[in-house]
Amino acid sequence: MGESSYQVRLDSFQGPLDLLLHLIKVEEVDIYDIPIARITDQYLNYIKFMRSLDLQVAGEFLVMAATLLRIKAEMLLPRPQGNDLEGPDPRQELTEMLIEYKRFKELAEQLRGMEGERFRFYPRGEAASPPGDDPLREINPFLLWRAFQEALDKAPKDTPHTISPDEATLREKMDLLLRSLEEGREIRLTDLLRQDPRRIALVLIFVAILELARQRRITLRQATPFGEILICPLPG
Amino acid sequence: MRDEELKQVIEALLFVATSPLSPQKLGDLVGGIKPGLVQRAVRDLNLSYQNRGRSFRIQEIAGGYQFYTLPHLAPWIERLVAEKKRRLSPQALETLAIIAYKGPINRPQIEAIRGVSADGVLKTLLERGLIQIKGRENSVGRPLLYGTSKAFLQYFGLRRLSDLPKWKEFSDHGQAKAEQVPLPNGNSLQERGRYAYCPGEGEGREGKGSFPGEVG
Repeated sequence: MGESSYQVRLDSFQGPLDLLLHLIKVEEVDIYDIPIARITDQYLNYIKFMRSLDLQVAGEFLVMAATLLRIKAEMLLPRPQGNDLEGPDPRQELTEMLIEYKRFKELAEQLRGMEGERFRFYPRGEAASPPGDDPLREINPFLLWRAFQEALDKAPKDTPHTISPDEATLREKMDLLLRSLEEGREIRLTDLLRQDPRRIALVLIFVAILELARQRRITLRQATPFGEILICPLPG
Repeated sequence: MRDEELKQVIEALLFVATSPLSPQKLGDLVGGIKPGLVQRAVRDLNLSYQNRGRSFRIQEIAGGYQFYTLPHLAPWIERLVAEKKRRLSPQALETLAIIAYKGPINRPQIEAIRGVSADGVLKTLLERGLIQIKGRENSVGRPLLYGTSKAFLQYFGLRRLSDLPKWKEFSDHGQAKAEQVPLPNGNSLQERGRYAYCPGEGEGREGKGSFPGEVG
């Protein structure tokens, strides 16, 4: 049952180029003179093997299989005779891709080493604050977007469509937000969203937050990933 | 201000700070002291920590100074710090390497090098703050351009991007030849030159220090 170890290996390939580099290594062939027929056979065997295990073969692997077969076919075609100008080696482009990829794979390994070493250094204050009261994490647009999605999910889906004349404007929402910030030190995003769960109100609040953040009048913080987002006033 | 006093003030400021302070910022706080003098004071401080066998050093990471404990103490600190450090996945590291050395770079270019889709991994890296969107390229489709962030430098303990290990040069016939840069203290590039490392205090296996001011 050597197959299970095979499977682990298959999963660990980062893509078709990674698999090809692996084949080149185990077959001990020169990357600048790839025996394309042999490597193609090996490659296709891997793909077959993956399929026999019902593993889903990513599209990229199949594209590479097609590329290999094309190169193999081109290599079989007779080269123009009596012509000094030999066409380019059909393998050239693939070789260049492999070299380039290999270079970054090696750099990635160096980064891995640095990561491990770096993990052993602890900055001052790393363990100081109890959880939840952490030095607050900077938040990015993606986290804000996710919070918005969550708010939309919570919003009532089929409220009857009524048009009220005194629909809040963005300006009003911004003013409201700034006023609330004057009173307290910070506001939780979820509290803010609970005030008015209508879809339009949620949108306006989010746009107001983004606009105020852009104007650097507020800042957004988050203690833990997926945690509560806090809106804090910025002086000035 | 006398040297001793300057050192004390800088030490005190760094002691209280929870995030890195740049030499400029420290100089301003002290009162118009040139960054060069701050750097010298930090070097002197580190030297005195080393001589006295202290457990920490001031490190310069991503343009700022901060206290860090020596790596051989990590096993004890891990017992205190609740959050386990999570290693990056291989695809994340490969993508980061490409962005660090080739950035600003767009997604199709990254995908061309790795031969696989970069959609998910870019999102993860953005979420972890290790890369940033640097702008848009002035070409068809105006693709987003990605570059590394300050958090990237902090994560890998670099002062600046140029402190990354050097490219390997590839000669015509494909022998990958490492650019061996001998360092003054006799370490090879493999030990990554300035890349912050502890002096062999406590245990002997570490490379020579490149904390500012440490003598090898």
